[in-house]
Amino acid sequence: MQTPFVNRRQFLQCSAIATTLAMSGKLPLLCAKSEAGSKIDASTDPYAVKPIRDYLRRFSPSGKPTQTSSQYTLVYDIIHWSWRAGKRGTYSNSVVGRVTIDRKVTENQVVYDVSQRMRIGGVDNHLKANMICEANDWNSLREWTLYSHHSSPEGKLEPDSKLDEKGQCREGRIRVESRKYGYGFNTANPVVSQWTLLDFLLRKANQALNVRFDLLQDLSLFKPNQSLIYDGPTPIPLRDGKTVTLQTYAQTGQGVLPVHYLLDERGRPQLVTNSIISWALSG
Amino acid sequence: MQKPNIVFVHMDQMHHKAVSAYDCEYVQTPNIDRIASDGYSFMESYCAMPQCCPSRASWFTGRMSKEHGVVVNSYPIDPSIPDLGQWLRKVGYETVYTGKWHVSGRNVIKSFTVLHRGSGHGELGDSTVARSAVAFLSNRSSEKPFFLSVGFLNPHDCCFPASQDGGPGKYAFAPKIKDKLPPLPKNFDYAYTTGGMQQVRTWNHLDWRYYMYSYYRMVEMVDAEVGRVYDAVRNGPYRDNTLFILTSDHGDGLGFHAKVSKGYLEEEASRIPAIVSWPGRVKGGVQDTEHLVSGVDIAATICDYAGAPPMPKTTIARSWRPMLESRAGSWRDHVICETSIGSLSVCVRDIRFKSIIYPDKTRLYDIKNDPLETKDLAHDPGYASVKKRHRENFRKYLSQIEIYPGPSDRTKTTARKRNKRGNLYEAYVNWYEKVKAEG
Repeated sequence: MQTPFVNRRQFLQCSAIATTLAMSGKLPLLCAKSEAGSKIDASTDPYAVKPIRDYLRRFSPSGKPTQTSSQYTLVYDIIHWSWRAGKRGTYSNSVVGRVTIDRKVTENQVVYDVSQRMRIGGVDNHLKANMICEANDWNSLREWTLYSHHSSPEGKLEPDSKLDEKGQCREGRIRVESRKYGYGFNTANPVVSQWTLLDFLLRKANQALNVRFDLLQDLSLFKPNQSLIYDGPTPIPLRDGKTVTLQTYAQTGQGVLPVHYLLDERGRPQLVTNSIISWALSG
Repeated sequence: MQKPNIVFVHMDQMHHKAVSAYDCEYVQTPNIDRIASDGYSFMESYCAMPQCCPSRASWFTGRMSKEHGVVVNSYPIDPSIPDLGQWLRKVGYETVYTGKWHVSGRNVIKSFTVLHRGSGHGELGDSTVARSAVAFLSNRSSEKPFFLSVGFLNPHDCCFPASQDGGPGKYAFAPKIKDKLPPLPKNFDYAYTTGGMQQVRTWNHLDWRYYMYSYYRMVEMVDAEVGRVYDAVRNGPYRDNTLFILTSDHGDGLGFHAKVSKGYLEEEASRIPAIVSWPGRVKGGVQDTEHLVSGVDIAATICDYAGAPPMPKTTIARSWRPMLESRAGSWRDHVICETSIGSLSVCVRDIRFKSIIYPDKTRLYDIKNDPLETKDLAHDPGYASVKKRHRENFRKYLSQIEIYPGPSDRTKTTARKRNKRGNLYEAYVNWYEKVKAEG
């Protein structure tokens, strides 16, 4: 078989055309075979803050709490990602609620009180939790109570929505009970809630971090085998035109989309991004 | 005998195989696995139509999309057709709803007591929906039997990272977790580059695999919520007298045939998980690959257990109860699924073969030997008799159903004003009448 002859000029011309087409997405066969960086995210902000791109236009880091002592209160705005109506593919963020996490240390335990409100489906949904945790690195869950209900925007409580639960975690077994039912899970790792994990990051975050834990989300949903690792610095553009670099930690595991925790120079988690729901430190 | 309580839990856009109990190694669904272990899984289960509103309207009316009128999302239901909420109220049930409803043209509040409306986002609303269902089970004191319908959104949240800019999807994170990403399906190809959906034509392999990874995590999210409701039923006062049904309105492309989303009749979009549990009453641990069932059967099954008469003008829907209780009897030899999205088409599935019939062509697959639908046998003379038989099945189906001609006053149909599908009623009526006339 005769080998086709292509001179250097022809080769460069063809290469340039093919490169241009591939870069513009018009040679998808070539593009699709590539496992290089994502084409989808090529022109967007850093992935860790992609769910809150709109919110970042209004964001500036919170200076609170002023000290990361053993006793403090963290307040986060809860941010919702959504499509902008009628414009598929664009996005907007709105604040749909607030969570307050109060931490106190006593002799041999750590106590958290959490109050969370989110507006969902036109009603306000409230969670109030009291957690007694071990005084270890993880503040792993020992026992807790959880009260929830929803109310109208005018504050009228819906009586049938009230739910009281209590739970405990002992010797590798989680048990959750209400007045009428109970259920449980076996656990092999330290058990934390999404609210208490923030303190672990405050105290233990470092660039060598690579740990495993089990998550009891909302003190109800068991999501074992979570991994938490350092994921590098993320530059965040601020509304005043400056940029702040936050240290990013990534959580992956069963039942969660990648979660990113963005910590400031004092170790405070300023931003926590999931996918549809994210948190921003506000006080 | 005391009437049973009925808990109907539905997920949204759940691929029929995305369950660890069904040997999917990329996802962990301990709660759905538990329900499957306690209950009876129909492995050959199809939705009535692979889109939210039409499929849901079929659950609640026992009629196909071209009968109840919800032929695509936003097309309103025939107002004269009752739904399960209204029907079961007549026989003494407390009918209660929480979460996603999405039966266009019917306000859920007219048929059910609504606990919570949920959200258009599973990550935002599903936990609250589960909590409202559990609170209902904990607080109720009525002696009446209840029908509780629980509508979860996930894994439907996969629609958002499938938008053109990837929505909230963190695709550039994919290289960091490359070892955790599932491989592409074996029937993945690049057909989408010429005929597929705009937003996914330029995805590279890693983008696709990250999409699949995210999808499986969303399945695990809803699995945890499903488990919460199941635990409240099975570990509480209603444990012994409650029928529990778990299914989905349709599937998702999940990379099969290089597709995302739904609306088409390939297996990934049209097949659904369907599990029924009632320990002591329904045989447990069964994975039934012999009986072809449809989402349209849900109403017939629930009416059967509730001691209610079949819903009006039930045509092809049948109760699953004989299979669930191991009673002998004949069953259908094929099942129908139809769509009005893209091109009008109808799927005829028998126990081995599946035809997808369009107005101008037919595709035929040997599903038992080619479950990934990679080889179209429609032009192979060796399968001409199968193709002919499926065409007859299609005609028989059309002779059984009452084809909905569209609302009498069509100017009131907002869908007609809003988009170019306005002539859809005429399109399917004309096609179906033409096929009927072939006989």
